Amino acid sequence: MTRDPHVTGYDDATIEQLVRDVAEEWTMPPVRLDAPSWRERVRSPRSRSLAAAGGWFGRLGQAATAAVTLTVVAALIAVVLTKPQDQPGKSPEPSGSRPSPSAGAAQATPLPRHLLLGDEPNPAIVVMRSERGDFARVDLTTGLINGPLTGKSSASELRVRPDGSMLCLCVEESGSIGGMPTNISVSFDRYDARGKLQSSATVDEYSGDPDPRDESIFVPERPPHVLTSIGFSDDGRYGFVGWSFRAHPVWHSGVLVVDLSSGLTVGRLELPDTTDGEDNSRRVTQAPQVVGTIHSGAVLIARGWYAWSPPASQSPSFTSENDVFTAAFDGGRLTDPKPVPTASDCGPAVVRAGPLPEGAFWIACTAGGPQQTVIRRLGPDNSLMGADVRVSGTSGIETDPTAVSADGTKLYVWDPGTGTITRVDLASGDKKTGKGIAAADTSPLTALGNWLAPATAAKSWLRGALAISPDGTRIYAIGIKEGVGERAMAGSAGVFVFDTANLEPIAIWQPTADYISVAVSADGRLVYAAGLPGVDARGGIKIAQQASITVFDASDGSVQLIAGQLGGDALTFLSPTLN
Amino acid sequence: MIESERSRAADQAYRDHANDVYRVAYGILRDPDDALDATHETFARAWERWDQYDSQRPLKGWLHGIVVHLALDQLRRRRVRRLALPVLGRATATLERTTQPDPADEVARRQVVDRALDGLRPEVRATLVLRHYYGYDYAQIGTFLGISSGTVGSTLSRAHAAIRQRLEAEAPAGDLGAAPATTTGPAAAPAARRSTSTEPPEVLP
Repeated sequence: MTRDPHVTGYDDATIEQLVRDVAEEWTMPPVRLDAPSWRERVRSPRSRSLAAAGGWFGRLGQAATAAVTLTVVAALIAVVLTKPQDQPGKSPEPSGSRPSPSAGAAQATPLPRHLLLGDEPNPAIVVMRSERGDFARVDLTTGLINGPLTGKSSASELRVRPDGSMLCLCVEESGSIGGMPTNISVSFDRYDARGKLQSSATVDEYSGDPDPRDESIFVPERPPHVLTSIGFSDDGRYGFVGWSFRAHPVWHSGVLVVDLSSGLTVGRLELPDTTDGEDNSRRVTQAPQVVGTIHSGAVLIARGWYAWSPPASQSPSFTSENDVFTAAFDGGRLTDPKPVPTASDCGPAVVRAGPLPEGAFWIACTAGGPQQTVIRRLGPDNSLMGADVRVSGTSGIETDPTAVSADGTKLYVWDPGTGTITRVDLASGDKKTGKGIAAADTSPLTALGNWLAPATAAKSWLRGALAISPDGTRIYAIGIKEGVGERAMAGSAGVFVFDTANLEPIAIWQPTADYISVAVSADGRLVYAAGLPGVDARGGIKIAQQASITVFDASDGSVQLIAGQLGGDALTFLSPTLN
Repeated sequence: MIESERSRAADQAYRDHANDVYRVAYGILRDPDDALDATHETFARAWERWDQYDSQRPLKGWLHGIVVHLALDQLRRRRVRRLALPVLGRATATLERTTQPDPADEVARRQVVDRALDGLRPEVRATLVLRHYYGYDYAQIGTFLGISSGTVGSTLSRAHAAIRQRLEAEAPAGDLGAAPATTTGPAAAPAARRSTSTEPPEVLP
């Protein structure tokens, strides 16, 4: 959780106390003696079975009703969409004017289950990550979703192979002391293209002990005992399983390499132990992550840690940093870790790393999502090469705001709050910015996502905030509106399209939903945007709205498809490029 | 567990925890009748699943897990009715509070917070209550709501920002004597070589 830099009078402790005071007043009213109690609601085993069956039949009935209704709605919408416009087929051009809520006021309309306005998209099957941490398969030819796939922990990671089958490095947690798991099992699971489990093999298991010093005290922070972090190599051949667990007085940690073609463990690297805190402090070592390839045969590993003191305080003082290492990586073997002390204070989250000429390398770190990105360049001897490049942006958004150009020479940093894209030349450190301007929402399609909802919900996170076209000429990024209603940030500002040659904004595609994730097809022809459930495009609370995917034609921003009823969990793309 | 023991345990659970279950339900639903309904449903479902309860874990936490899901499901099922009612409820509440202001500053601040909670998503309200009133850690809240620990943290951060904004607009701290925030962190001192704050650090994405 990051602190709002605009704090002026009310700190978090005060707000927490006020919330407690308010909630204290929420007490249960007296229950009438003749009112049905919970006992009257207990169902017999038989009625439970019937209820479950009824639910399925009910859904089938609803689906049939919805199909008829949506056919009519789609026909009506099609009439509107096929009406000649001022500039047929052209996406709205950037404009300095703010959207006018009164001009052509959009009527309340939920997104349809399935609206196909062009050819079937390619890819038509998209595997998404759900907000609950599992995965689901969306069929864009029907607008139906199939999931969850794994039923395992949110720390799992899944990759889709070219034939549609899937590989998962899946994480299962068990045991609980102090509310945190004590055991983690990592498995290598294979799924077919329809999402059916084909095989599962245990990769490794880890167990962490609770801190014996805290047996007799209550630690509000409730530290973890064991952690994992899953990643994949750039070429997709290997999976990395970072792990850490407490064995007082130290944390053990390391990285395990899995060959994704065979599922076999081909490399193991143990990193130096770290303390779990001395005297009146406690320290947690997070699972190491392989952040990137820094030159042929070498990767960068970041292992974060945080410490707090005093351990039993409700408001302890926190310290955090990263231990950064380089390691040789050859044929799946991960060896020879060497610390990079000059990288440790780059920022709370080390998100990317890559090579520079003559054995040098760069790392990118973020603090508070787009609030601050630091690009640090280091020589072969780990010495600093020039000053850090810093890019500042909007606070309060949880996301990785960065993307690397296909040739690896430039880093793009996106600020969703201001619609600003910054390009950093990684060799020279030079940076250039481009800014998109909000366009008026005049498109008829905008009505699909806009309801007459007075309240707005704060946007909290984006997962996949920007995507670069496969040919490297375009950047697609999703923006968040600022200053709407009573919230600092709420609703989608649409999909911003930038020309990478000059960072000029080419277009802004109006949102049909409150977008949280964007991706581009492997052929570059289509752009996919995933919308939040529970809110409309303006961030207005709309409980009826389910998660959605909108597919745009990359050439002109016209909407090709909407799958608008994909359930109550937020869905995000697994990667910025969809195969 | 034989039937009579289960019956006694369930009755005891209701006596001990009904109010705690109701509080979370109300935090999500913001309607006393609906919250009461969800409370009764929670104990009915708990009774049906009593064999699944791990007695090594706190009973209250188990019940909270059930009520969170039930209340959020209830919201989805009654979405049509819900679309109109909160707006009317808010308008009425605002009128009452405007015409009958409470002279006590502390009460006024609570009213502002209460109204601010109205504007937050149900999941966000649940997160606030589960964290600040009941003290659950991020992982436990994440389990209740089916989201990651990192999302819980960011949700709280955004919720605080929204409440803070409302408080500053309607009950400025200077008027009410709230102490200004004194902690420093990465956001306040981005150039610091080593970050120190009173907040948990970011979870790596």
